[in-house]
Amino acid sequence: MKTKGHHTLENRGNADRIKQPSLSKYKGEDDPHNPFLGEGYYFWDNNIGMAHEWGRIRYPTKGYYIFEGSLSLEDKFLFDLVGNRSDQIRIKELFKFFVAKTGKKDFDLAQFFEVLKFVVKYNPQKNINIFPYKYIRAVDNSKRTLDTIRFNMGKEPYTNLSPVYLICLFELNELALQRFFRIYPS
Amino acid sequence: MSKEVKEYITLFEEFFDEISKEELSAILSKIESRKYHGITVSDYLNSLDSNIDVLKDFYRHNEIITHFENSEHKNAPIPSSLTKGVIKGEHAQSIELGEFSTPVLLNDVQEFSSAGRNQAYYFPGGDNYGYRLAA
Repeated sequence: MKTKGHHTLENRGNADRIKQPSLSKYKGEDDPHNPFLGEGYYFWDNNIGMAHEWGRIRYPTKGYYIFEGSLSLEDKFLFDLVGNRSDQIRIKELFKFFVAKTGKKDFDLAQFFEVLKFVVKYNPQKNINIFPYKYIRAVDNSKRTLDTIRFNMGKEPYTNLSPVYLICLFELNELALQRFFRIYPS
Repeated sequence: MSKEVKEYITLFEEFFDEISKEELSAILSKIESRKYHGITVSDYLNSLDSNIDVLKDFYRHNEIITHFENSEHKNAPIPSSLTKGVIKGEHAQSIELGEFSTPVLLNDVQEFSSAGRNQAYYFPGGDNYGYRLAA
């Protein structure tokens, strides 16, 4: 899958020195901006509006930059919670199994992804590779940016033409992130 | 369950067979301590009292709804500055005092209300969201 990813950074007067996206880490329990899909490099999937919104909310004083990345994501390494029903079903079943085993029903998705990453790394010789992925894509349904259009006039069913997709790369490499350049301020 | 999912579950089972209870408990505690829903309603509301700008954070807004589901937080104090009005925003871009026209009361929040304290409303859909803490 090829797409453009938008990435927002605080304006620290260093735009020309920024060569790569920032790694999002857990910063403590009280930080509201902890990463949704675990630790990684985050992009809005082709969504300049969300990049601006994030900048306005998160960096109201200093302002912000928006960078664009040319993303090339190999299907076999993409855990796609947006468009792959198999991946959606699998994460639900794995989580159900995890809760049955541990009783940790309050774990959120970000925490569960960290569990899966840990399982993969736990014993490389055993090759318990239940999560052979390098990036995740998910939709943020809490964002009520509903840009709806009905399938048929007079009928209720509709679709959303402006969903908010997040892409998280676990690590950077030139295959996945082929270009990274500033687009705001231009 | 599909064959593919069963294979993943089998692999997951192997992991649980492999790891000791102590080691599993340690790693889960470590991951659990990173939870981003860690803030309590009390802390959240207190932070609102001191800095209403924090409402611009859409995600915290969602968290408070989440935490109303937890019975242990139902007795959280409501700051006086928030008991007289309605706070709303559009995509978290602008926050202003005003009124919502069609409030929707969520079941979990209703339970909070029925405790005889304050009311909280949630406004899903379209550009409207927000909550109300009214005496």
